[in-house]
Amino acid sequence: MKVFKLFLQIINKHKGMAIMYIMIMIMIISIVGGQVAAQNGEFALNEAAVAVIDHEQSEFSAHFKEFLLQGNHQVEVPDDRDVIADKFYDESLDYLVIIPQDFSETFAKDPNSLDLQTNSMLDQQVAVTFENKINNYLNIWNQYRILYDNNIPADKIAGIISEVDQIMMPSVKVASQEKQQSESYKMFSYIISQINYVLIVLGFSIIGYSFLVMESPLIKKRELVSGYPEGKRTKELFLASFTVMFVIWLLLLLIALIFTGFDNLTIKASQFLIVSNFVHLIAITALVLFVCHLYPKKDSSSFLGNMVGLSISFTTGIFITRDFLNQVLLKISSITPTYWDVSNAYHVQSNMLNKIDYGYMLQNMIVMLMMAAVFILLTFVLRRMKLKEGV
Amino acid sequence: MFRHLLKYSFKVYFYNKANIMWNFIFPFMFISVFFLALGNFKDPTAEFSKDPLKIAIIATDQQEAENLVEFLSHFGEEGVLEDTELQDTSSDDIFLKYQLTDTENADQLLTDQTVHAIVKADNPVEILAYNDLSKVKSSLLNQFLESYESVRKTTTAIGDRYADEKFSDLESFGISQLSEQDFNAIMEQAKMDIQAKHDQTIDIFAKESETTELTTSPLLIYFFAAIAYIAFFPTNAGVSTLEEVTANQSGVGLRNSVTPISKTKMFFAVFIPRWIIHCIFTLVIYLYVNLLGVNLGDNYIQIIVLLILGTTSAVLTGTAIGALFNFNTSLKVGISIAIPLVFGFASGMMYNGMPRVIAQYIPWFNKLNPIGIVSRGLYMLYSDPTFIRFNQQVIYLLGIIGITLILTIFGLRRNSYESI
Repeated sequence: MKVFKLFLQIINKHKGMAIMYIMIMIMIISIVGGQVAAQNGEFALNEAAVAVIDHEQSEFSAHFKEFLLQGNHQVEVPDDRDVIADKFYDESLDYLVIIPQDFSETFAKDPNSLDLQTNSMLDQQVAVTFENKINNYLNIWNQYRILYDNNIPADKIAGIISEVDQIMMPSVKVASQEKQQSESYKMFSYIISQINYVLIVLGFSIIGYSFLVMESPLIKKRELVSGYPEGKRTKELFLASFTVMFVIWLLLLLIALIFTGFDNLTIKASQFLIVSNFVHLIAITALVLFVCHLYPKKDSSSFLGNMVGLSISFTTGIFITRDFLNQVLLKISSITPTYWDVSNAYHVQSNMLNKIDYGYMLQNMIVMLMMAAVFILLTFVLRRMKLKEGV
Repeated sequence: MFRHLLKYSFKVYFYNKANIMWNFIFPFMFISVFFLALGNFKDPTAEFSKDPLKIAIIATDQQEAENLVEFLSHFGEEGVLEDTELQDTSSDDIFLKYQLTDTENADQLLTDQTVHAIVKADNPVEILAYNDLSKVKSSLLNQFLESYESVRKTTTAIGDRYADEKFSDLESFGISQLSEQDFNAIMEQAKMDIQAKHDQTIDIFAKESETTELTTSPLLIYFFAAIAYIAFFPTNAGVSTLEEVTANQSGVGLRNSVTPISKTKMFFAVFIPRWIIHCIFTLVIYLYVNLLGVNLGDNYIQIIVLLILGTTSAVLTGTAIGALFNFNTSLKVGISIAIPLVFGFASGMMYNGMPRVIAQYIPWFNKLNPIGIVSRGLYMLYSDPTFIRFNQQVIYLLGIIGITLILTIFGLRRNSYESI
């Protein structure tokens, strides 16, 4: 196991870079995971930073403010144009609503003429979401306004507020089977797909680099001259690469489980995802080794990891949901193993537990295994060719 | 002599093909992939007209089903099987297609993946099962059904109140005197009144939404961060600059250090060509982004200034890393790649909600993040009519440039070698 140990020693020699990359990736997963987990156990990423300035301070306006802040992060701002603009440009504020002093009075006269000052960041989607939310709310109150001939009696407000709360409360039932199971397996599927990006970057930056150091003519010739068989050396190199990748993967998996709960280990869908991710790990390691033979420049391994990692992640739907991805590009990305693993994660996210097609997931895993086999085969062919050339 | 060194450094840089590959081809490829991948963000709803949400509606009570279908008809159309006709006849406002059917058929449709979900028209509405329902579609379905539920609940609440008010009036007249015919007439009137009330909807943003100019698609938000990342990408060029002038970092550095030229002069002779080349590369990428049709705003001069400052801060960050730390070269290269990646992530390049999270928990980081500063600067140029805040971002960048330059000079001067 001389070569195996030497490979680990090289990794150890470059442990600074390995630790740095692992820490960065852990940070990325932790922040993204924390955002998912912060949403009361629901699988959502839509919390917005909202500021509401209430100039009226009535029961009605206070309830309106409470409604707007529900499920969002409250930002306190004074009614100062410059300070508000600073908050928007600091990116610490997504949406602002200024409730005027005559809010209730104008609403009673003509709700459509309400001078509700709103402002949003550049993202149109945030503005549209809040505009719909405000319109829905005011439409409900408008029914009460009409009922009381444009003048809601003050003693009725408290009762109406509790009724509006009831009306606005989510009431659509989702199949009972889903109710019993928490959505943790969906969160898990989301985070485990993020691991793929980390693995690709680390694969090239750490494994690829160390592998190319081991393959440098000086070290390779020294070992071959000392009588170490080429076949055994190759086997140990491959084994060491897979072992290190496996350890990194275990670490990342542990983090994913910390964020989403260890009960995922008992859910069949999550178990399948873990196996799928493991198969992806094998395929990606094989891809890294293949690319290292194709383009054996050790100084470029970090660049390569960065480029391949970002490109694959943007095209397979790791960073951006597949609903918005260019479908042609998505199809093209199916030549990478990551596409198939992310497909499994999406399949779990978009299906009820009892509707998950494990056959489909298995099929995707087989595709990844086949890809891994092809990459390994091609790597051996390249090695043999280079051996014949005497490189 | 200095001019000769400058010329020599330009040539050396271009002779190294890896430099061109990673510092120009990579950003070019990255922006292309980024643009192609996010193409649909220009109009996220357009995707629904091609592939609408499909649901099967089942009901035990026919009235419930009719009410739900009537409500959903505002957002979509009936029929889930006419796929081929859909693309020709549907408008962009079609978000969903629905089919009123029985339980058995609904199950079959779901199994065949003809529909995404089975909805039971009941009180309340229930999503009985779903299949291949993406997060966006699931959120859309939920929104439609919750809206329907809120209309129903409002109708009931208002109806109850209406009846209470009427009956309280009737009590004063003496309800016992009311004939059954009168009572039915009142109830019928009440029903019509409630219906009339629901027809009066308000939309306080109707005028604004037609004239909104400053809001835009999330594509631009991603692009601000992506182009800022590209501007800050050549951190590695700074690291390699130091490698070539410092004796203990490379053979070339060793050779250069024995020449009778001061270290500072040598540094600038190697630094300036790289800085110029990378500024040009960044501007070419900016031009390419414009050619792709992504409009980052009309303040071209200011955008160019911002990008050049971003690139300058990147190269100088690299030189500071190279001058201050005695790590091995591979670790320095790793750091020079990792830093833009972390800054890019914090600026929202991979997840557009990240700047808000950073602003909430570690606000100081946003002020130190050059990619965030460039990205925010682009955002300000796009939407802020004054240049006050933009100028502030320029000052921040100049501050970073000044600090990294001082650190570089300090790092260069303190090195002394007893033996190499």
